[in-house]
Parts: sequence; structure tokens; C-alpha cells
Amino acid sequence: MKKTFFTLASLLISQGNTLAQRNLTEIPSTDPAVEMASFKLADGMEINLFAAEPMVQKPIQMAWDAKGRLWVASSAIYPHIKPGQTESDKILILEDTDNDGKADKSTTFFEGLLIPTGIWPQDGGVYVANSTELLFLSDSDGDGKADTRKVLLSGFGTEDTHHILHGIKGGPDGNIYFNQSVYIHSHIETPFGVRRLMGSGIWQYSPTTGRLEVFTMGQINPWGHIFDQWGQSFTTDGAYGEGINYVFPGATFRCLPDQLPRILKGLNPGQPKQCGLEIISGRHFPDDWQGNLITCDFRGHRVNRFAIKENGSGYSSQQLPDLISSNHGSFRPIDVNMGPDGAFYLADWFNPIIQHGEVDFRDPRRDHSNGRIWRISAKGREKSPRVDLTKINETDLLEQLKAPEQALRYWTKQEIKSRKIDNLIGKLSAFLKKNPSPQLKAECMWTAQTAGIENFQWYFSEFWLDGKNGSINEPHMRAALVRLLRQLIIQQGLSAITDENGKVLSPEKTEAFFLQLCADENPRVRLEAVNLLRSVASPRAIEIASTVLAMPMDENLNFALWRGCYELSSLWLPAFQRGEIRFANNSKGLLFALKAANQADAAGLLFDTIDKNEINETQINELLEIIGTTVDKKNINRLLSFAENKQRSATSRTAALAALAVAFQQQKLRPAQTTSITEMIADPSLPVSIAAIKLSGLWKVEEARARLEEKARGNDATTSAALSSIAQLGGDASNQFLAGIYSAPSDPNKKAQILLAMTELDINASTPQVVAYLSSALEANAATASLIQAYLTRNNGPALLATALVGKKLKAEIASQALQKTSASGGDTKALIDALTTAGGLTTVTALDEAQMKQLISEVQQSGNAARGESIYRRQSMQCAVCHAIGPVGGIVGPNLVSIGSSAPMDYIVDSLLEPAKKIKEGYATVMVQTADGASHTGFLSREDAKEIVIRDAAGQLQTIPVSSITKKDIIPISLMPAGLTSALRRDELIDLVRFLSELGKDGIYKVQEDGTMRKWYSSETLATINTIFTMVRGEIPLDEIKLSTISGQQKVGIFSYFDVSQEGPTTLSFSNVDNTRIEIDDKEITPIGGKITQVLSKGKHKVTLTISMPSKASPKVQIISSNAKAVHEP
Amino acid sequence: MLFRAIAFFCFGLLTCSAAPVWEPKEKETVVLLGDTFFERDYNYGLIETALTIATAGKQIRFRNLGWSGDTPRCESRSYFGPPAEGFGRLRKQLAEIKPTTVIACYGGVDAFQGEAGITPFLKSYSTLLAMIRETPGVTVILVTPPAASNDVPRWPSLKGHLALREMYAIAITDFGKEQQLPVADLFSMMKNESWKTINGVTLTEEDYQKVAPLVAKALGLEIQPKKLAQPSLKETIIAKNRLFFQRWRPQNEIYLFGSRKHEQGKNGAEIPTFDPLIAEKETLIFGTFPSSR
Repeated sequence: MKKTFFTLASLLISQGNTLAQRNLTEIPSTDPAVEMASFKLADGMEINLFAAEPMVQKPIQMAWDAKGRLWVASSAIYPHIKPGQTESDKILILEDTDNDGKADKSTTFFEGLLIPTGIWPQDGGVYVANSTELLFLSDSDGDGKADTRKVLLSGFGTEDTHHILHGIKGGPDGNIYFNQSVYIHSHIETPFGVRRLMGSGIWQYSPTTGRLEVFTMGQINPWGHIFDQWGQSFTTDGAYGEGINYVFPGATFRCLPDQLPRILKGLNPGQPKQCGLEIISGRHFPDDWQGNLITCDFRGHRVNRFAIKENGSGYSSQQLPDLISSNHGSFRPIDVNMGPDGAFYLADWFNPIIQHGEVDFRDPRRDHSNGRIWRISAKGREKSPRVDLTKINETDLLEQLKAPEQALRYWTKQEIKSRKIDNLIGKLSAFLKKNPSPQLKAECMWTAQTAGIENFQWYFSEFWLDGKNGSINEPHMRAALVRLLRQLIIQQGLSAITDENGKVLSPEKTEAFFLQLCADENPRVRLEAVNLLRSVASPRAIEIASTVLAMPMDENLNFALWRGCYELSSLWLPAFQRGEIRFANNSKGLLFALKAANQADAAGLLFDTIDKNEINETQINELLEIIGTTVDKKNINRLLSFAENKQRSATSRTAALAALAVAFQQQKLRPAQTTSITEMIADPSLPVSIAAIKLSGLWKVEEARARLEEKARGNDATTSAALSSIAQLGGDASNQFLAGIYSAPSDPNKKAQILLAMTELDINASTPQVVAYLSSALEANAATASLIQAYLTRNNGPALLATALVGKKLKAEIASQALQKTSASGGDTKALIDALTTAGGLTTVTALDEAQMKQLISEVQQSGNAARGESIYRRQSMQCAVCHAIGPVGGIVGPNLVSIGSSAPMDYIVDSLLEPAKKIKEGYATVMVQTADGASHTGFLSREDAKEIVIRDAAGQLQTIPVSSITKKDIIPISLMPAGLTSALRRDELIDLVRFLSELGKDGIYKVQEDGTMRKWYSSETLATINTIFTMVRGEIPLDEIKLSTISGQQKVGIFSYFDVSQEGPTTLSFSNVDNTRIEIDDKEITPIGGKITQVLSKGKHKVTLTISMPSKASPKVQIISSNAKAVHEP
Repeated sequence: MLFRAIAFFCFGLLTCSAAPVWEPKEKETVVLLGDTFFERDYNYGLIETALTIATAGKQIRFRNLGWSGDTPRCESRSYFGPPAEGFGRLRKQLAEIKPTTVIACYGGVDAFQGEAGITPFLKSYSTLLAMIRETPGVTVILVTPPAASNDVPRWPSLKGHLALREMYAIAITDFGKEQQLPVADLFSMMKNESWKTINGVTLTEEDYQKVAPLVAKALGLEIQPKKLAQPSLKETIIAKNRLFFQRWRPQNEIYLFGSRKHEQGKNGAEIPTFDPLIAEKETLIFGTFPSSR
């Protein structure tokens, strides 16, 4: 390999030049030595270059084979083939023949591929994901080059080349797993019928049976997948930012757009984008690294480390300090792998440009020729011994199943499979007798499974009962066994289940066995049991699965059971109605299943359940909500009778009235008799009264008019609903009434409410009055916002308002508020934007030309101040944090900005600020839906099914729109981020803001550290209003942004936050900058010693309160040090 | 070598063939429409080579629109929308390609729906045919689905599957009569042979060598061995097919023509520039044979 000589001085100079400047023209040095000098490693680790160009180019996935050779899928063509360009991407093999930690041989095994993004050498060849196909390449004549190209599966979609089939991994169960991302639609022919996956997920493929199934669904870019020592799966994702995910068969995460109504979430919300995943195991790494998960933050030029811990049926994950980080702009770690020497290997895509959505396919700055593999080892520790499995005898081979290196155990199972050993299960049984550890049992079980053995009898007798004392086996082992049984049942049906003598179990005994699994003391065994029963897919299986509710539940268990009840409702619900299943002694199970089923004919059953009076009020209210969407003609009167029944609580009656409103809006259903609604307007309960007022408007109950007018004349919580209902009643009477009270004196808010009703009744006639109101309004507030919104949600509204504004003047802040709402609303709003800009005397923001952009970027680099930029970002008027998060806290409407600086070039950031519509992140496309009633809704698609579309609007609110009411649905080229947000900034402020954003995620103080910081705080101004405060990026709380309270005559700031303890035990918190501060945990004062306090805390939510005597210049910071606790950052 | 083998094989079989199902004319544009069976051949070029040889000198252009797992409902052809979106995509492609003949081969996927699936299958097939017939002057030929492996011990899930495919083949034959369309009964020619297959249903490249002349034969075509010329014909056909694949099913659709075209849609301009490259390959293919005139 080429050696590069350099002096320290020259290195520092070149680094200074290359790394300090991240402008558009400066391409980072391609010298591996320069890159290496930029690395910062975890304590006790060292790094060396294993291979670089020309031995390896553009690595995407890499995998070691049984012989200790490193296979690399390499693509110079990415992101898109040029017309006429040869499909010339390669499979490379790198070898370190002298075991010195550096590759000394590189072979091109195959050339002629198109963007291969997955590789797995096994079965005498190599599995390769090649765009639309899964290939198997093999070398039949032993010359080191592939001569056979077999297409195993085809029909994988290629809608986006960083989404295509990727990340092939062999599972301990002998199956091969591979992933696809969210834009991909695949249709694969198998001997079991066509398998389709429309969107992202992980596939499971059996090389022996040819069975292909969807293993999990969702995530945006599931770019990492790994198994732990018990065969449990974890994933990472390159877009949706939730760190490590625990996944199991049927687990479903965020999908686009056909999302299930219920999904699972990752274990570390607010993480940057991550790619690749590996688990540390083996003799070379120190003990405190064992079982840690390692993944790549390719945007932030670093490799992250997480510790996972058992938590109920799933896991919790805690971030530890990075394994490696760099400030070299082309260091792009994307795959990680434990090598045969026990060291850790890192594939470095090496490119200043990543992605091809934001940056042009043909951008000349893209690197198409370089690439590196780095080797990270633990200083001063022995390498793991290398074993050539092909050269050892059967006895020694079995011994390797005990190896501490997970990869070595994997290849041992594969070697055993390839040897086609006679009487394998007999030999495994004998081996286990001598070595009865649970871990070895799992390995032997998987060895048999890998070899294609489907003998339930043997698995059951060998692994269910512990050989020594007849008690059932260790929980991890039981969970792994239930997972295997699920696969046997999928393959062979229920007849697969036999007793220890090989006799097929009777249905009664089978059910008893399943019930036993659902009552297992270990939550993960129960989770596997529910997954198994979902695959059995019979009414009785659902009934049995629901018995799991008798034991403690958690998010995974709830999801697994819900998915079964939801997806199989057309199977079990009719069986329940026919009386074939009864959920006997399990009303909890019935309720859960009915709620999940969410089907039209469920309404009657839901009412029956309520009438039995076996459920509590909260459950009743939940059922009423479901009834609202599922009720049919037969049951609609029952809903009204429920609301009329004064024996029921006001909350339940309100829920029933709300359900009636939903039934009317979604299905135009209403009861035959509606007179009672007039009575209810006068109900002593305010919520009942308001709900009745709304319904009387919806149903146009003319008899209610007098009562509505009475309410409309007042000024309380019922007024605005009453005004709106009068508008809905319509006619001259409404017109005259509204005009009459509008001319009477009242406060501006009441006037706005009346105007709003007038626009509902006749938007044309009321527009001059609305414009007059807006022109004389003194401040932009909720009232002005609601009036503007009234125009934006009507098809002709924007044009109407634009015309009426001609020649009128608005206060700048009102025009600006209106502009923000207008630009986020979609549709043709150009005329309104112009009118608002003129009326408010605002200057418009224009795009920058190339020279202006260059000038701005150079000013950002020279004089931009990130600290000032952060305070601009945090300004209320900028609204940034309302929509965006930085790390785990902030808004959820726009993309998380945690690593925007390290991933996006500066021109991208500037463009996004000035012209938000120019660049729109995947998953954030704006959808505009118009409905039959003339309303339009804009937002990004949250989920969509045959019944309804749910969009998240610019305010972060979810809007559910019944599909039946939709007249038009378009994806529109606008961003929910309003244009003009930066128009109020001075040039120096814009420069500071860009500087701040461009520092986010880069090594330094603007990289969000996962150090246990509590980042979401609350202050209560009054009893009713609680304000949320997000910390600065560094984790400090900005006291100057919080309103002071006067406590005992002294000015103080009082704030609080929550954390969650997952396991009872000593919990340590650390406090910095807390002078003059009273600290409480769960309302008891504590005094930290040396900035820390340790207390034994129970499982569950706890509160930290800080009361700081002002004035204080301190910026407090609170961190949770223990791994048994986590800050609560969710709402 | 291979082509000689194909030709010999066909020549032997064709001596007893009936009236031709397809009578190819000069300079036709032929679309191969169907599921995995046609899709896989774009890479092997074997069916197309056999048909090219069998129609030598007529300068026929083939467009392989096979899509893995597809059905007459165009289930594999949609991206983000329902199958109707895929149906619309195919309609648009046919309008651009303007085929003179469409050779359609469906039924292999639907056979997994069992006997009950036949009626809905034929119903969707007639909807598809109505759409294909929107192309002025187009001739449609129905091909019965290929056989699958009969090695049930190796592929247990295929127990009874071959019989189902036969049921579908018969139904398609009757349907063809009803629709007054010629039917090429490929299934009957394959059913008594044994097929190695990749997974019980998808044929291997070796299987395609065997099946390619059967497709020609089912269409009632004759292969004249003397006209077999350069051995690179198959390679040229494959090269043409790969170019065409990037033309009609390009990668990165979402950016080129989909919901994110506001970002990188300008690269969509590259896609039509595949056309002259495809034409170049076709000139080479046509040059293999002297014109029949």
C-alpha cells in the first residue's frame, strides 16, 4: 500500500485549510493520513487503515465470510446511471493474509452490477442486493471470480436509490434478512404466492424453503439491523431519528403513507440519522464494551455507541460516548462489522456529498472513486484467535458454538449446515448433555434450524424443559424457542405441534400450551406468544392471545396484541357474533379486541359492553369515541339516549355528544328525533351544553334558535359555539341576528367571534367588515389569526380577501401573521400574499443569485456568531422551535435539525431559510386535501387508509378527514415552513442564524450530547398556563427567557421537569450552575454533594423542581447519570 | 451453440405445428406484457432471441414490459397509489410505444388464488384487454401461464398448484375464444416437462433456454436454422433490454417524475436520451439478418 509521508506542521496547515472551511468549493483532502489525523477515539481504542482506494472504492455494505475475508459491495455509479453508462459496479474481496490488521490483497469477484447496496457471503457464494434483484453469485471453478449469476428474487422497487434493497444480514435462525426503505414498492414471486411490500420494512428469506415474508414494517430508511445473543433484533434508521429500535416479527414503525393507526417507536428519540449496526462481542474487546450497539452518524462524521438493557418485553437504550468522531468533511462511516480478529471494522463511504434528494445527481463535488475501511482495536489487548472452520473436525466444530465471538458462532452454524452432518440432532443432544448452558442451548437450537430441521418433537423435548430439574428453561431461551415454533407453524400449520413422543397434540392440548405461553412469567416470552398466535390467525387464537392482558402489559405487548385484533377483525368478530368465541372471564380482552377492531358492525357490540356496566368510566368514554366513527343507522338512537341519560356522568354524556357530531360529519347519520338537544343546551354542565350547542348547529335544529341566541348574546365559554351554530342554521333570521349584535358595542374579541360566524354564513357579504376589523386591530392575536384562517380554509377565500385588501393598510405584525399562515396553506395564494405584503408595507424576501450566495456564505464564515444565532433561533417571533426539534426536544412539524450543519451544505441552509419550498425533506411533502363542503386542509400526510386521511398541519395538530368527503387530494410543491420568516431579520442576524444552524451536529458545542441532560422544562405562570422551555443545545436552561414570579417578596424563577425510572434503585442526578437555587425531587428539598445526588427511587415518573433566586446570571443544567432513569421529553 | 440448439429443437417440433397463432408483419412493435415470466427474460434475452430468429428479416422491435408479480389488475405497476395507478402507467406507456402486437401472459400469480380466483381473474383480464385495444390496430395474443415445478417433495407449498395453473390455462383458452383472440397454449407444451426452477415457480436461466423455443412454437412460429448468424445476437438483445429497462422503469422515479421532482426533476431530461441508444442496438440486431425482401 502507498505510504504517505508528512510532517506534523504540514498536516496541521492542510487540516486548517481543509477543515476550517466548509464552503462550497473547498473539497476535503483525499489523503488518508489527513483523514486519520482528524479522528478522535474513545479511551483505550486505536485505529489503523485496513484498506483504501485503489484496493476499495465506494463501499456500501461489507461482510466477513467464514474464511475471514472481507466482502465489499462497491458502487461508483450511485446515485444514478448515466444513459449509455455500463453497469460496472463491483463486489470486492479484501484479505489480510498475514494477519497484520491491513488488507494486502483485493480481488474483484464480480463486475457488472447496478448500485449493489447489500452483500452477504454464504452458501458457497455471495448474496447481493442489486437494485431490483437479489442475486446469488458463485465461483464454480475456484478462480476467485464469479462465473454464475443467479437471480433468486426480483421485483424490488427502485424509486429511490438510497432506499433500494439493502443491508443483508444472516440471522442466527438460518434465515437471511434484508431491508428496503420507505419509497420502495416490491412484488416478489415465491412458491407461496406473490409477496408485496409497499413501503419500508425488513424481509425474512429462507434459503432452504424459498419462503419470503415481511418481518417488520416501517421506519423511513432502516439502514442497520443486528441480532443479539438471544436472536432478538435491533435496527437503526437513516431518516426518522429515534436511535436504536427494538424490533420483533410484525413490529411496525412510522411508514408513509399507509401507516397503521398504531405504531411503535424507537428507544432514543431525537437521535441523528444513523446507518449500519453492530453488536460488540468477543475476547478482544474489554468487558464494558460487550453487548454494546455501534452505529454510524454519517452526517455528523462520528460513530455512536449505545448500551441496551432489558426493559419489560423490550429494551431501553442509553447512549455512551462516541467510539470515534472526526471533523473531516468526507469521513462518512456507513457500515460497521466485527472482524475475525475481534477488532472493529468501519466502512467509510468517503464523500463530501451525501444523498441525492438535496444535491444534484450530477453534482461535480460527488466523490465516485475513493473509499476506506478502518480497523479499530483495543490498545494492548490480544486479538481474538482466528479459526479456519473448514479445517477442523466435527467435535472441534461443535466446540466453536461456545465461542464468545458472535460472528464465529454464526459461521460455525453455517459450516455445520454445509457439512450435511448425519444424525445432527442426536449429536447436538449429546453435546448439550455435556454442556448444559442456556446460551449453548440457543446456539444448538439455531444450528438445527439453520440446517433445515423442522422436528418440533425434538425442539420441544430438548429446549422447553430444562434437562436437570424438569422446570421450564431460562426465559431468553424460552422466548427464542417460541420464536422458532412460530416459524414452524407458519411453515407446517398447527399440525407441527407434537408432544415429546411425536404425536400431534389435540386441539385442547394445543390451546392449553398457548394459554401457558400467554401467562408466562417473562414478558418477552408473552410477546413472542402473542406474535405466534397472530400467525396462527384464527378467532380462537385471538381469544387466547387476549388472555395476555391478565399479566402486566407494556408498549410492545399492547402493540402485538392490538395488531392481531385489528388485522384479523374480519375473522374473529363474526365468530364472536356467532357465539363461537366468547372471551369468557376476560372482559378486559373483549374490550381490548373490540376497541382494536374499529369496524362498522362493532357499534352494537360496543354498546352491549357499555350496558353490562362491567367497565369503568374512562373505558366507556374510549368506547364512545370509537362508536362515533363506527356507529350505524341501527345504533345512532342509542347514542343520543346515552347522552340524554342524566344518570351518566357529564364527561360520558359529552363524549356521546361528540360521537354524535363525528357520526354526522363522517357519515351524515343523525337520530330521527333531535328535540332533546335543545333541552341539553341549558344543561348545568358546561361541556354538555357546549357539545349540544354544536350539535344543534350541525343538525340545523331550528327549535334551538332562541336558546342559541340567548347564549350568543352572553360572553362566556358557550358564546363562540352558539354564534357558529346560528350561522349554520342560516337564513335571514341568522343574518339579521348577527348583524344586530355586531353593531352593538362589545370587546374586540367578541366582535371577532361574531365576524367569524358571519363569514361562516356569508363570506362574501362579511368580507368588508372583516377587512375593516383587521385594519383597525392593534395587535396580532388569536382573534386575528382565526379570522385569517377562516379565509384560508375556503377555496375562494384567499382571492376574496386579496381583492378586499386593495387600498387598505394593516399593521405590519398583523400582515406578517397573515403571511405566515397564508404561505403555509397551499393552493393559489399569490394574490393574497401580494395584497398582504402591500397592505402591511412589508419587504419581500428574494432568492439570492450565485454571487450573492457566495458573498453571504463568506460573511457567515468570517463573522457569523453561532451563540447570537442560537438566541435568534430561540426568539418567539421566529417560531423556529415551534416546528423543529434540535435533538430530543422541540416541535415535530418540521425535520429535526440536530445534524443539519454537518449534513447540509451552507447554501442548502440559506436556501431553506429564504425559500423553504425549494428543498423539502422526504416525509415532509405537503398534501392539500379539499372536501365536498368547500374546505381545504394542508399539512403533511401522517397516515392514510381506506377510511380516512390524517394530516399534520402547520400548527402540529392532527386533522382527520374522512375519505368519503374528499373531492381532491394533491401533493403540492410548497413547504409547511412559511416563507418570509426571516424577512424581519437584519442581515447580520441572518448571518448569525445561518452560522448557528451550520454548526449543529458538527464536533463542538453545538453537537447535541446524549449525556442524560434534562432538556424539557416547564414553568407555571398561573395555575392554568404552563409554559414549556427547551434547553439550549448545550443543555443549559436560559433563565432570562422565563417569566419571574414573586415568592415571599423575592423575585424568583421556578421551573420543573420530569424523569422516568425504569428499574427501582439508586438514581444519580448531577446539577451544574445552581447557585442560589432550591432543588427538590418529588417536592422534597435535596442538597447535592459535589454537584451530585443519589437517591433510591421507585419505578415510574419523578419530578425535579428548581427555584432560583433572581437576579442570577447562571444557566442551570441537570443531568441524569444513572442508566436506570431517563429524562421525559415526550409531551 | 445455444442458438443452433434452439433452432434444431424448434425445427424438429415445428414440422407438426398447426396454423400460426401469430403472423408477424414487417417492422412490427411487439410488447411482451406479463409478470415475472417475461420480466426475468429481459436479463437472459432468450425468449426474445428465439422470437427474433423466428421472425428474422422482419425487423421487429420487442418491448419487454414484464413486471414481477404482476396481474391483469396491474398490481405491480403502481408506486404510491392503488393498482389503478399502475393501470394508468401501463396505458400511458402503451400510448407512447404504440405496439402493433401485444403478447400477454398472465395467470401464474392469480393461480395462487385457487379455483375461486378464476372469475375475478378473467374479469380483470377483460378490463385490461379493453385498455390495450385503445391502441389503434393492435393485435393481442394471449399466452397461457408457464408451468411450475412438479417436484412437490422439494416445494411442498406447490402441492396441487400445477393443476391450478392448468385450470387457469384452460380458462384462458376459453376466454380467448370468447374474446376472439388467438391463444398460445404455452402451459400445455410445458406441463409434461420437468423444470429445474429457482424456487418452484420462477424458472432458471437454463429453464429459459428450454422454454424460449416453446414460446416461439406456441405462437406458431418457425425458426429457419440457416438464418442464424452472429452469436452476439443474444448479448445485443440483452444490452438493448437493459437500456430499455432504464428507460421505462428508471431508478429514482420519485425524484425524476414523482412527488420530489421539484428537487432533482431536471435530471428527468436524461431519460429520453436512452432512445437513440436503444435504436442503435436495434440497428445491430436487425443487421444480423438480411431483409426478407
